[in-house]
Amino acid sequence: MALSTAEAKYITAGSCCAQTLWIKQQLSDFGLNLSKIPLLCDKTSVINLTKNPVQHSRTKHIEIRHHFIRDHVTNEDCEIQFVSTENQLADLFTKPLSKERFNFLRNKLGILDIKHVL
Amino acid sequence: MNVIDTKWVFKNKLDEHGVIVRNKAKLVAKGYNQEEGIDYGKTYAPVERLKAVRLLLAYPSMNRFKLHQMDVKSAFLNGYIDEEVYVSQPQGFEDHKHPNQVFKLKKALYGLKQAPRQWYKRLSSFLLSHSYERGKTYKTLFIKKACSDIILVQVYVDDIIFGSTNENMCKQFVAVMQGEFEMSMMGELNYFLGLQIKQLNHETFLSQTKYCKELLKKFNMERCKESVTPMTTNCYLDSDDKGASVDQTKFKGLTGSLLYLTVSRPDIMFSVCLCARFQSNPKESHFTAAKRILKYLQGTTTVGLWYPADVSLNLVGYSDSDFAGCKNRKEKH
Repeated sequence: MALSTAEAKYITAGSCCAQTLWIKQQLSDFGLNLSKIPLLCDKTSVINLTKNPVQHSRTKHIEIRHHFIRDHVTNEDCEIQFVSTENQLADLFTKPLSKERFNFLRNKLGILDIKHVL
Repeated sequence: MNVIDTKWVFKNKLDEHGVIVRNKAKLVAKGYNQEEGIDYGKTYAPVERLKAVRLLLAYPSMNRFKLHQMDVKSAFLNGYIDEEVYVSQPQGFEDHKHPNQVFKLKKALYGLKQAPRQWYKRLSSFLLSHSYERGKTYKTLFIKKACSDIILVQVYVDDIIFGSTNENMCKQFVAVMQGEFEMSMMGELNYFLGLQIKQLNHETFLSQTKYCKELLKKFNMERCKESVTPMTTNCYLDSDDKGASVDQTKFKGLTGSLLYLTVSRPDIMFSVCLCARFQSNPKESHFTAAKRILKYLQGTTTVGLWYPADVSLNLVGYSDSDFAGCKNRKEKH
């Protein structure tokens, strides 16, 4: 159970990292090697958490397994970058949205109507 | 000694437009009578998850090659079985002179517990002996590299998807496979596990239009009103203990069908997953939310995933979470 938004986002950034590592592994089977995969996050405190390996007194309670992402940032498997809330594409998967916002994100993600692309 | 009965199964096979393309008659063994340790040993056979298949579908559009598919005819009959298994004489083919005799199986039959495993074993050892390498993450992907060219072969039980940067490697693969197994339905990949795939000049479009329309029909929503989003902005679902209960089986069927649709429709991912959380005790309010998704689908049956050509591949992860009452989720692009 996360106690703050930053912690919740830190945990999800960790599982996002795990997913990208899986895709990276799969792509290496296809003959494509990637490194420094950007992970976009809309919370600067999370970015700082992953960069600074020092234990802060306020993050002591976060379970060790969630620090998985730190290792991969140090190994340069992935790289955490900031994204503004407007360009946060994952918004589509976290909350109900208005029509305009929903259509905007849907198009950005490449989910299109066949009538429009052909 | 355990003798396993057999049974005839008749089926019509449909193509993506619902037209009958083949009539099939299959002799199946009643595998549920098999005893573990005597009639079968291990039964595990690997199958690719759909996420990995989707990744494979996206890959060729960036590298300007096309995917092809083929299908192994009666695949399971190709596997050799290691155990001694006996079956009774099939109906319509009884030997009247020896009514008490049974058949000993050399190869697998449909319905036998070990059939999928033995088929995978036969196919994988065959490909490995032809210097194809098995993928590191998934055991159903086979790769062969020659100079700068590569061929990718994805096996999904009896369906095989393959593509190569070099046409000759594809031809070579087809020839090798035809030499060993009976193959059918060869050609460009256009329909696979209910996914409709359109490959135009290296761009790929992935949709489930047919599946989506059938889904609407199944739940009597073919003529419902359309809505623009799968969920209202003020939608708040909780366990709703006081609400009226709805038929659990129907609700589970609905969420399950919708979950399969998320393969080509990530836009409904959030709303479907939210509804799916209440499967154990569905109420009227949850059913209304699920129906709203169907209303949204009604107006967007032809929507799917578009993979443009010539985009240099860059993998970007987006992470976000909703911090409100232990809801927690992530997704990436």
